This record gives sequence, structure tokens and C-alpha cells, in this order.
Amino acid sequence: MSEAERLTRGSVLRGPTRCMTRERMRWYVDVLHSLEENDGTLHRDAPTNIHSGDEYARTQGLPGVIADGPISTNWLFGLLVDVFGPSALDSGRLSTKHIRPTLENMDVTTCLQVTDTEELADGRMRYTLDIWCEDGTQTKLTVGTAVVTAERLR
Amino acid sequence: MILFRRACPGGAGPDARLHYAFDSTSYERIEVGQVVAVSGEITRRYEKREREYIEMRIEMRAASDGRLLVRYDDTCLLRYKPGGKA
Repeated sequence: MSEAERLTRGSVLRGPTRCMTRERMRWYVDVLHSLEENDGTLHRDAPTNIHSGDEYARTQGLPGVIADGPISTNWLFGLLVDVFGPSALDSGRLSTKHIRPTLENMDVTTCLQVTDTEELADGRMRYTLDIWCEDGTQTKLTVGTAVVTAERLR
Repeated sequence: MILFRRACPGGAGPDARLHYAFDSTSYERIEVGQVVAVSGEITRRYEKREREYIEMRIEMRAASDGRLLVRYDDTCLLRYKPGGKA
């Protein structure tokens, strides 16, 4: 039985814990800039925003750089693919809100809870989920919901 | 970034922008090598509790026939610190 098939309403699943390192924050900053330039090379900005520059982040009342919110959203999307397989990419919905800053070297765990399940006419299952990222004290940093349609593997 | 530059031609200003909310709906899988067309628009700009927010909608469509593949709504704070405008 797959991991997805073991999930019923109320089930909670905690995914991998990752450390939000400075390098991971920086990769995302550089990817955004490089995508915009679109010339096949990696572009690096001067460290002048809250995701790349400690000095600037402190002028904003933060203790240092914080992670760009979409990193956590992408990790949650990854959890859905890990649990429900490639069909999580076919159709569905993912909504998140970043409610607390994710600081450097914070341990971040991706989590989901099944709030509803529905068997579709074609035999596939639709899962409605609460999703979130939490730190090492289980304080939520990012919260949201998702709807995923998954193939039945039996 | 292009949308931001158009909406805020003066740049980010002294105060930081921050991603606040993300909402995406996927309509079908996008295969490696598939050619896509991306469009975006600012859908709303408003103030709430002395902070200025901006909402944008970005759509990704199949270049071949315009089929909608992903719709993405993003909400950002234009100023992390309360007060003022970007």
C-alpha cells in the first residue's frame, strides 16, 4: 500500500526536515535574477535585500536574512509529489501564507493533514489537505491548503 | 520582476518587499521541453494596517494552442515596515 493510500481523514504526515541554510536562501535569490536575465548563466546580485543582506535585513527590524517565502511553498509542493506521486503535478490547487519569518539555520519540517477525501467516478482519489511548515518547536511558519488528485495504485 | 518594475518604477525603496501569500491552480502536467507562454498583470493594489499590498496574476499557457496550464495569484507586501508608500 502506498503512503497516499494509508491516508484517511485526519491523518497527519510529517515530511523531511531541512535546515534553512544561508546557501539555500541565496540559491533562490540568484535563481530569480538568473531566470530574468535568461542567458544561460548564473547571476548574483549584491546582497541588498532581506534574503541576501544581513545589514539591510537589520534595517528592516529583522535579526538577519530571512528566507524567501516561496522556498517553503516549493518544499510543500515537493511533499505533495513525494506522497501522491507525479499525479500531484497534473491538476490541483496549492495556497500558502507566510505567517512568520524563516530565519537562517532554522530547521523546517513540511507537514500535511487530510481534511477530506473523495473517490472520483474514474477511480482516482481527491484529497483536501491542510499543509504547513513548522520549525523545531512545531511553531507554524507557513500555512495553507491543497487539493490533490491521485491515481489509485491497487 | 517585470511586473514589479512596471508597478513600482521607482524601485523597491528603502523598505523591503515581502511575499505574503501564494495561490496556484494547476490544470495539467507540463512536460520537459514543452513551449509555454507566460503573461501577468497587477490585479489589485491596496493598503491594510498602514502597509501597502500588491496582488498579481500570472498565467502559463501552452504556446501551441493557448491552453491554460497554471494560474498563479501572488500577494506581496510592498513595504515590510508600516507606513508610507512604495
